[in-house]
Amino acid sequence: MAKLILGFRIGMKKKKELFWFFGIGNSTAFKSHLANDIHPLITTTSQLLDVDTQPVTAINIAFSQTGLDALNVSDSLGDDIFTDGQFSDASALGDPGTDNWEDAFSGTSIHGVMLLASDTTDNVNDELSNIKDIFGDSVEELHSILGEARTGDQEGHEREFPSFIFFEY
Amino acid sequence: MVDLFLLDFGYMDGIAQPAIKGFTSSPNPGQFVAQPGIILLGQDGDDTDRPSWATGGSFMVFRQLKQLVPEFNQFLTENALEVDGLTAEEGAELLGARMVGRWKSVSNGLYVLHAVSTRL
Repeated sequence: MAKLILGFRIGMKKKKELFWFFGIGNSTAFKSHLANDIHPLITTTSQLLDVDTQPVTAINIAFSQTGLDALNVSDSLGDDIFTDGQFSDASALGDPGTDNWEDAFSGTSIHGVMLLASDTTDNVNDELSNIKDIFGDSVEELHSILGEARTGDQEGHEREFPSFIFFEY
Repeated sequence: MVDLFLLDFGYMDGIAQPAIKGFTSSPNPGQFVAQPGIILLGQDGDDTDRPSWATGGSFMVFRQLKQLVPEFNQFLTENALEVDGLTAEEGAELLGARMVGRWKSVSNGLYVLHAVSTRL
């Protein structure tokens, strides 16, 4: 049984979460879609912290260094480990080489990831369809993985963040 | 009431995370309380220069790993710690506890927590 281990993130405490990894093909078109149609979909922390404003499907987006490069964002984020990427750091992480890495993760072709979280797989898939329609040819899907959250929640921790969330699929 | 959510390995899950000052309203007893800047760019505790547009953002790390449960248990058995007064099985449990940072919640159907901890 394979598992995903996710580091710190804003607590999107939903049962199903999809990680959709992509490469940017057309930077100009991508930026336009991002600004006009994706940006309004991104769920804010404030929205998450109140059950009355939580969306049916929470959405977040993240970029790798090569993703920022593809978008011509030249500002330094101040973190060399981020800039150099996990692939180059594999031995420092204790990996016995990278032969057993997922192909999509080997190298630096992943430019970004979208995180979709909801209570049902249908909700997540519907939202993914919407996002794919928006991006069209400007991106290429590189890896997609749906996880089911297993969280050790206790009373009162429901909407706290951050959390190490363990997903299994 | 506490729900036991166990990883496949048998250790309680979700109890090692810190509370975040300003966000976690009721930290658990003994839970480490961290500055928000430890994970949020540009917040208290983040002393690194960041672009202004990155404020409130965070770094995400994604690792996709397989959990090899029988193999892990085999490893513990083969490398069981030899301690006076402990059986071989308890020595294996102790090794696992040291690696994970807590005793298994359930071990081969037996709760070994009390028996072993009172002897050490």
